[in-house]
Amino acid sequence: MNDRSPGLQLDPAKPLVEERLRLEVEFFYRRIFDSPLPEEVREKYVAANLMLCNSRVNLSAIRLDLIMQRSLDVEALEFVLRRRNPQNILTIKLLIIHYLTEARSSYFDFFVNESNRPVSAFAELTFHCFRSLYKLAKGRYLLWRYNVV
Amino acid sequence: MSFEVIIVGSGPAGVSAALELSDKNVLILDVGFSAPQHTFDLEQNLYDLKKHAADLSPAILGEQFESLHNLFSFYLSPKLKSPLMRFVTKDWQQLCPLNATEFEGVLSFAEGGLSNAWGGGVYRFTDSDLVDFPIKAADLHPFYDRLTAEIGVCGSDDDLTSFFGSTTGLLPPVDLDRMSSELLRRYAKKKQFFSRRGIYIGKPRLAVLTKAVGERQAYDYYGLEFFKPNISGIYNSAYTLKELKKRPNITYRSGFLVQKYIETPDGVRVLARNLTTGAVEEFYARKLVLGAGMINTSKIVLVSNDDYSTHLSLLDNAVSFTPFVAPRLIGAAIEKRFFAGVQLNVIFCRDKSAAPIQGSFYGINGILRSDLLIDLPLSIKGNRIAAKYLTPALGVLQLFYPDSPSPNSYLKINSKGEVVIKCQRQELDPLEGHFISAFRRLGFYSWPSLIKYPAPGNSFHYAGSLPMKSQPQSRYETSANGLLFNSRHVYVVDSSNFPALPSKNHTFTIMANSMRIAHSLKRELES
Repeated sequence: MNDRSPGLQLDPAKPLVEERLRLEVEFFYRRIFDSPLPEEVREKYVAANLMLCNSRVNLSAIRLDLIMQRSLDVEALEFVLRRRNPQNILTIKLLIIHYLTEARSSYFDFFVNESNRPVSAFAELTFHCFRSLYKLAKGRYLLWRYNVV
Repeated sequence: MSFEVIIVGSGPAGVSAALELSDKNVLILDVGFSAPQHTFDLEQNLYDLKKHAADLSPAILGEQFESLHNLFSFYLSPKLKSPLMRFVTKDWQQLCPLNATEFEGVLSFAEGGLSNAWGGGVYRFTDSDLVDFPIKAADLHPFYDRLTAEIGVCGSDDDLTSFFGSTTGLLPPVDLDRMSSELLRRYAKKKQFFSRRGIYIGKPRLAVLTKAVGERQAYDYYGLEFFKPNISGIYNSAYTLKELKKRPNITYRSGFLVQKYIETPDGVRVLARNLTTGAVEEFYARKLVLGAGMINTSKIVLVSNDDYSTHLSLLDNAVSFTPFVAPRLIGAAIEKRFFAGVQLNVIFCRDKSAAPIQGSFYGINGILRSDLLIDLPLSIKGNRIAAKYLTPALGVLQLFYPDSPSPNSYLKINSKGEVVIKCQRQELDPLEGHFISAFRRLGFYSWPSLIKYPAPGNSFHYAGSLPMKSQPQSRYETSANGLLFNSRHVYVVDSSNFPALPSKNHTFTIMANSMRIAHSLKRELES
């Protein structure tokens, strides 16, 4: 996670803001879904950000560029930042990705459980409780170690 | 243009008055935004749609990403923010600007008003609810009965009947989801425990058709209430308006924002801005019926009196949301056939002569999982897993607290044309802890730290600015028949005329009371 991502080079032919958003969603998505980003989600993410990020959103409050350059653990950082301020820009951006993916049938199983699976549900939830504690500690460390906010 | 009656607004109050007056020469003036035409195929249940439609985002997120509204702006309920439902609150901030502190209400200028997005709860007020009113429950009964037949109300005869009144004309109740069936089954075994604690649980009274009535189909259990407007099985006032438009005596003019009225010895001149041309047009009638919703009606009355200083009382049901989890349902398969609205009602009433506190219990099966992610307590990946497996096991208890006039909650207008609202949070005698402890007996668990108390205005139940009094004494009070004090021609039929706001959802009573006032107005017109 500490190596620099090869996808962080800007393409000079594309408008800077849009290109930055594409890099951003690529980075976030890969860390949340552990899979390649579909083109449609990428373009909708760019469109949603361009359309909705308005003056109410403090885009510079969190140094997203630093998070990407250092390839920091975005899940851990978001968790800590959300506990401080649920409306922070990193949480907003991760939620946009979730809304966009939830609307697509190919992600149905990510969000919906169609069969009775109480045992695996308890197991997964227990795992994620402990994992979240780990992410919380890691996020606090990363916030302390790097000047992200 | 001259009419016998002009009615302002097409929400529950306006259409109920129009229904009663429909053999008179009536003009309904309304802004009247209507539901958008769309080509999405939404004729399946929510989960089959999500599973099989490659990309539902135009329908459930919107071409303009309307469903992401809450990430970037003030909070809107999941129902009001979805793209096909945005017409309900369209342009309200331009049409009736609010200057509000600690008030997060919304207004509707749509055909049918906020009933396009309501939960459909229809509850008769009993005498204990009407203690501060100059009328009795018996005055409303005939109109409740007529409305029950007109709009279709489902429900059952159970522990809540003594609070909800007559069961005459009820359709069979809505099928409960698995979680609520389980809760009700366990409650039935522990009734004594609950009754000692003043808690009663039963099925809700809902304006939902469980059988086809007239041209309206029975509810389909597709669970699309948060995304699809005008679901035939769930009543909203736009249906009554549609019927009224067919009647020869009713004229409906949309695209008009009523600004003020001027009384003359024989009637009322009504000035309304044509929203297409911007011109102010004048209409004339013998009587004016104001049913534009409490905030808008109050504004019209204050502007008409050229009064920029008087504070009118503002009542608002404080609400709380308490999530509950039923551990035995964690990891259960999603239910695809379900009703996304209120599943059960709860009543807290230690003394049956006192006004009860009412709550609604519902599941969260009908909303997007992404709406939950910000509220769950794990990391974002953990929250996605939690949303996936906990949804069948999660319920929310929404409690409504009654309100009565207080100098700290008021509305007025200022010289800029804004409605100034100050609404202080009520000091509650909270009951959530009582319910948390009682529900534990049913296998439903919660924790006080999870309770949410939204800002005032989030109930969408506003009232009390022009209260009915048996002997009105100020120019902003109304008689028991809705007539504004010192007026001969202006009647108030929406919740502005409620002198107090009980805990029960007030929409059905707004409708019945509006009909009652219109009934007396009709007799006056005929005399």
